[in-house]
Amino acid sequence: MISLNKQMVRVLVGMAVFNVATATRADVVVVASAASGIVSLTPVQLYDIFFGKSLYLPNGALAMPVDQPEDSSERRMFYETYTGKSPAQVKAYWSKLIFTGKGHPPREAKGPNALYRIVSRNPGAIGYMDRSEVDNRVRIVKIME
Amino acid sequence: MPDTPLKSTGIPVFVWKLLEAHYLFPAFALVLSCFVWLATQNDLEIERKAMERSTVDSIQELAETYEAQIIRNLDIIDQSLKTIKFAYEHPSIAPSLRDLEEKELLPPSMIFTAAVTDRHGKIVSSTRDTGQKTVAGTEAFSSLRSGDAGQLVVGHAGKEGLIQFSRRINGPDGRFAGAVMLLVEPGYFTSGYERSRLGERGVFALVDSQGGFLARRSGEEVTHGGTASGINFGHGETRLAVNPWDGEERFFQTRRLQRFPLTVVVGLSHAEKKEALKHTKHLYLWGAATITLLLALAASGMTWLSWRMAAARRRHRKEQATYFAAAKASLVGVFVLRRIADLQDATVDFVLDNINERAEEMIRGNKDALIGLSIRRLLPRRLAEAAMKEFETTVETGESIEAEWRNRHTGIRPKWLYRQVVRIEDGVVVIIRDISERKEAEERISHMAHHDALTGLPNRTLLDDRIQHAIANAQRNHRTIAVLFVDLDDFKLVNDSLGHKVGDELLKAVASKMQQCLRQTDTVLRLGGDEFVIVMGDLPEDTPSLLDSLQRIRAAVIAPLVLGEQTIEISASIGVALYPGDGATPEALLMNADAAMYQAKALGRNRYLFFTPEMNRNFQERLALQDGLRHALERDEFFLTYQPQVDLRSGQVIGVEALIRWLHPEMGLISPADFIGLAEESGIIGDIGEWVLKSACSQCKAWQDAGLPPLVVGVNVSARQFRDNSLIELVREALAESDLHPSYLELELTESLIMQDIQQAVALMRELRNLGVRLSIDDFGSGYSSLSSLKSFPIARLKIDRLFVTDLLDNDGDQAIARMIVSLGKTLNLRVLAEGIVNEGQRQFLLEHGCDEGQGYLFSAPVSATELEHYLRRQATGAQALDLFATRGTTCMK
Repeated sequence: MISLNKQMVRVLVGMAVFNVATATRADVVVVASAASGIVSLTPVQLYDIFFGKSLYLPNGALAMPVDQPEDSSERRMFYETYTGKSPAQVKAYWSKLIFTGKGHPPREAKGPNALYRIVSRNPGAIGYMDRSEVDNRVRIVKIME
Repeated sequence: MPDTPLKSTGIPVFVWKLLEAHYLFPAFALVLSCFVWLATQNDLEIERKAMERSTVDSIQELAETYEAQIIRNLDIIDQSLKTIKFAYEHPSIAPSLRDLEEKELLPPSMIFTAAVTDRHGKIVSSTRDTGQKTVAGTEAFSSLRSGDAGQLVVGHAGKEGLIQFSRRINGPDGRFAGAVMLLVEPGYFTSGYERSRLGERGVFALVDSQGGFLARRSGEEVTHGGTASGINFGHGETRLAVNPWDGEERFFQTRRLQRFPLTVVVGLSHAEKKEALKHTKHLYLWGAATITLLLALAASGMTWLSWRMAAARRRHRKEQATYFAAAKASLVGVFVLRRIADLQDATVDFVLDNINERAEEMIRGNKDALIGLSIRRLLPRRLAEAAMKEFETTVETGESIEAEWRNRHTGIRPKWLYRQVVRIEDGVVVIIRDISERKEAEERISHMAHHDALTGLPNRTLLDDRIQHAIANAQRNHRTIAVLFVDLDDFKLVNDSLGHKVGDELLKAVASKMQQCLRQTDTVLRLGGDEFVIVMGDLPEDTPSLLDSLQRIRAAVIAPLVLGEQTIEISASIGVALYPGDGATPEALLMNADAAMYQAKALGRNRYLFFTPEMNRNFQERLALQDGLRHALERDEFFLTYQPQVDLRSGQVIGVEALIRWLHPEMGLISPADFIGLAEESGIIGDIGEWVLKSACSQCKAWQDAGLPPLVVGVNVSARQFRDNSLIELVREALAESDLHPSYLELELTESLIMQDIQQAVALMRELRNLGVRLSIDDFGSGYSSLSSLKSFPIARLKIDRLFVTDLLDNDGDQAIARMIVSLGKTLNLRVLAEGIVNEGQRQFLLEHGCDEGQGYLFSAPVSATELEHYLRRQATGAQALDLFATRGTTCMK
């Protein structure tokens, strides 16, 4: 029988919380290929790229925004964190654009690996993934003013 | 505005009334408002039509666009389906949706879910998990499986209403191998709905071949399902109708797609459009309302003003009409004048605006000819100036000016006129009234107040005034005036004996006669009773001309008057006072003239006398006398003197006349002439008379007792005594007291005394005669005897008035009268005595003509009792009485 003293309960609870926290705060980062030369983007630039308003990266390369799968948490988190839009809003936005033929949404990568593959083949690819998934195949793009 | 019902054009008055401003303005405003509203309506209509047109245009554009978009999408979908179908049908391809997706051969997976089913309908691959496992049993699957027309099948699946596009996959043998599907949320097909263009209640819809909604969006609301039946599916024409699925009335268009079994519906809500218009509509309406309101206000304002003006005009007209109605019927002439002023509002002229009938009559003019003329043309210059001044004053002060004036203008008839000038708006009204009657009446009344009704002469009210006037004149011109106090002598006698009517006539005649003696500038006034005052002004300072006038007046007065059947003679006593010598004020002059008049009376009347300061004294003396008289009797100041009456032939004393004398302690001896009148006035005469009678009787008796030859004593009876009822008693008393035999008492009655009332006189005389006393008529010839009645008088003797004796020798007339009286006496068997014989000639004459007796200074003056006694004794001894007494200078007066 494990005797639970106050100290231990606290630690356990803390871990649980920590785990939850880390689970929700699964840190989504913007990534691009190392070869793209993109080090940072302003939030506006990021927004424009992902909403099809801007077709080019700052360095002049053709931008290729890449989404995570539609129901993935990374996607949701990315949009929430970096654009402030909910998935419904995003969908509605693209719905109209697609319907009227005025634009097309970002590619959808089926997962981090797919993203890696896309990024490796397309220098202008910008995507996002959980930080934990990031390796040296991609570079984290800093989003700042 | 006309005040006759019909104007000359025959247009009835109410039409004209309508044209009056206060009807016109509202009407005009109303019309204008109508215009504004019509215009607004029109504009709104235009707007509406424009809206409609633009709506229709919009719909056209929207529909075309939407159609195009749908078609494009459908093409993509179809293309994708065909691609997948190819991939799955081509034997050398190992199909994989994923690959296709990666290769970007599939439409965005965000929207489209691709899926493949096997020939049983089981989903073997999909880009996303739809939650469905199979489509077996669905109509779409069935229709794909049943035949291959190569068509695109459209249907919907599932509760979310996912629209499913599917094509048949054929196996290598051409047999049904399954279906390839693309699933889309219905909202996708209406995601092009822009609220800015379609509003909240517009519609984007996609309808399938059965008429069911695959997708429909209005505003935010996205729906699917339901039926669009009831809509005529034309193509490309915009209609306005109520959409049955939501009851919204819309402009909408349906477009059936050529290559696909679908219809596109695009619509705009009528209400919404109208809503949009509403703002404009409101604006317009508000504008119109505001304009209308302003018009209404303006119109009311103008109407109100107009009403007021009309009311004022009406009032004015009414006033004028009332005024003229009153003026027309009235007795006043009304002249309305309008004031003409220059720019500085200074009066320039007055112009005649209107006159009424009476005014026309007054000035004998014609209204039409005179209206419009200036006052300067209507009146002579001076009058016009004066008139204008009056008008201006009235206009300035607002107070009316009244005046009365005597008319000198021959053009106007009335003699006295009254005018009143009253201010009216922009002019004056002059009212003129003929007051001649009133004035004349006033004058008449005034005249009556100041003049004697009987004679027409001024009365005492004007006396002071006249004298003042004359004084003022005299002062200015250094002339004299004379004030005459005229008192008719014995007027009372005439009045009583002949009656008041005769008396009045006499007064009138005397007044007229006196007037005839005077100049125009002299005034005769009647003071009352038998008193007159004559004021003679503007006389030269010397008196001869005055004397002339006085003599003429006196002569005029005493000239015999014939009144009816009677001839009357009357005289006057006139007192004259002169200004400034006898007084400087009317009071002084009158008083002194009065005093002079009294003196004239006292001196015997029938004369004029100039005032002397002594008269005043005399006046005072008179008063003193009157006073003394009262006490004289008790103070024994009276005594009797006796004048012998002698037989003319023998010279024997046959009787005496008793005469009263008064010895006043201070004033001395006073003759009866001076105090008998006073005594009669003050009533003492009764007592004096009694004393005289008794004293005479006693004395007579005394003489008889003394042994002297018996005499008859004659006593004068005054008028007062004669009329006194107690005379008989008195005589009886006197006789009894003195014990004198009645036959020795003779009562002398004057002629005029008897004649006043013959009947009474005769009765009294009879009674006296019955007592035994004698009666004689004194002063015969100077009165008014009725010869026939003379017969009936129980008298014994006639005494001829001394008047006739005085001028006997010179005057034929007097001789004749004396002779006549003597023969009359003889005829009537009366003795005749002549009074006042002063010389032998007279005695001789009288004696020759049959006169029996005489009395006078020739024989003796009145003497005292003692002296008479003496005389009688002497006579008894035979001495010549004549001489004895003739030389005696006894100071006795008769």
